[in-house]
Amino acid sequence: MCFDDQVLSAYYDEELEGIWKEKVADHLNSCSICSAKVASFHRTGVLLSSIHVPEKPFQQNAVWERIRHSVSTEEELGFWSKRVSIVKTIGAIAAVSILVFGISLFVNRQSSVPPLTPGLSLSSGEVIQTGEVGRFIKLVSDSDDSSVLFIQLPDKTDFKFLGEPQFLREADFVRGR
Amino acid sequence: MRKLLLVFSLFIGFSTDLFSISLQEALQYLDSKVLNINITARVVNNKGEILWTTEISKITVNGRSVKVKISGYNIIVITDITPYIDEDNTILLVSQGEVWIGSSESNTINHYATIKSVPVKSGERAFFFPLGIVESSEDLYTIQLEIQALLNNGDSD
Repeated sequence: MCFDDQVLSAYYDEELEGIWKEKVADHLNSCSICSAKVASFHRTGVLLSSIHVPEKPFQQNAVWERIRHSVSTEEELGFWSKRVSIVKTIGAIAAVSILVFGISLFVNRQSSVPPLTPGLSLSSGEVIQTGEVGRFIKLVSDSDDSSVLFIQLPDKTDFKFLGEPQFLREADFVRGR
Repeated sequence: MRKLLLVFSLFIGFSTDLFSISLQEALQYLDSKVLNINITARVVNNKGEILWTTEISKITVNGRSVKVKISGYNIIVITDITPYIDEDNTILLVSQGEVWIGSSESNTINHYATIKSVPVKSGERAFFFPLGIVESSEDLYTIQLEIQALLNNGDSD
């Protein structure tokens, strides 16, 4: 009884082991048909191995070339030709609008504060203990700001606090004198 | 193309709001809110005699303060003078001041904070006395700030 082609092919490929390998080998010694089939497997193998397959991976190159081309095309696109997400654009516009609106609300609120009532008058006093009066005065005095109008009083004039600060219209001041 | 349309419509939208007030109108509005603040600082004795004086001035706008720092041997006065223009062109002058007076004898610094306001007309003078007014017969000095706010639109008495 002859073996089928699959078993013979497995034998030729040395995939059979143990008792099956011995059985097929014994059979091939006595069966010319099966021997011829194995011989044909051998010939086919020799023939295939003799065919030269070019090593150039042209398909792989083509794929890389295509990717490279698409990337360079993307880079070359100008601002106006690039694709952008409409959702993202609308989101960005909405965010900017909210920011602008918020700032304008804040600015308007700042500028719409009603003026103080005429005749407003508040004063408070406090005594600070310090061992370095001159240094303190100099420190506050020297913390200069370019937007400040600076007035230097004549030296060695010793001032004293005389009473609550007064802010008077000219007419009231003249009348008071 | 879609983006071009988007940018164009945004430009139209914003420019409609931005240019709804013409530049000329904006400048006129700003011009009407400009004030010239003239300040004359004086040291006055108990007899009302002026011992020392200096003048400074600054241009400002409605609601923006002019900061004045007066520095002396034992004193620092920092005051913010803010003019607010009312609808009838009355100017409310608000003076927010801080005074530090040091005493080397007692090693103390007296700090006073004050906020005062007076309504004046453009060109009318107001007087600020950060140390108070000399009323005694003692040989004392005080600081007097004469403040004159002038509206830029020439509306002064």
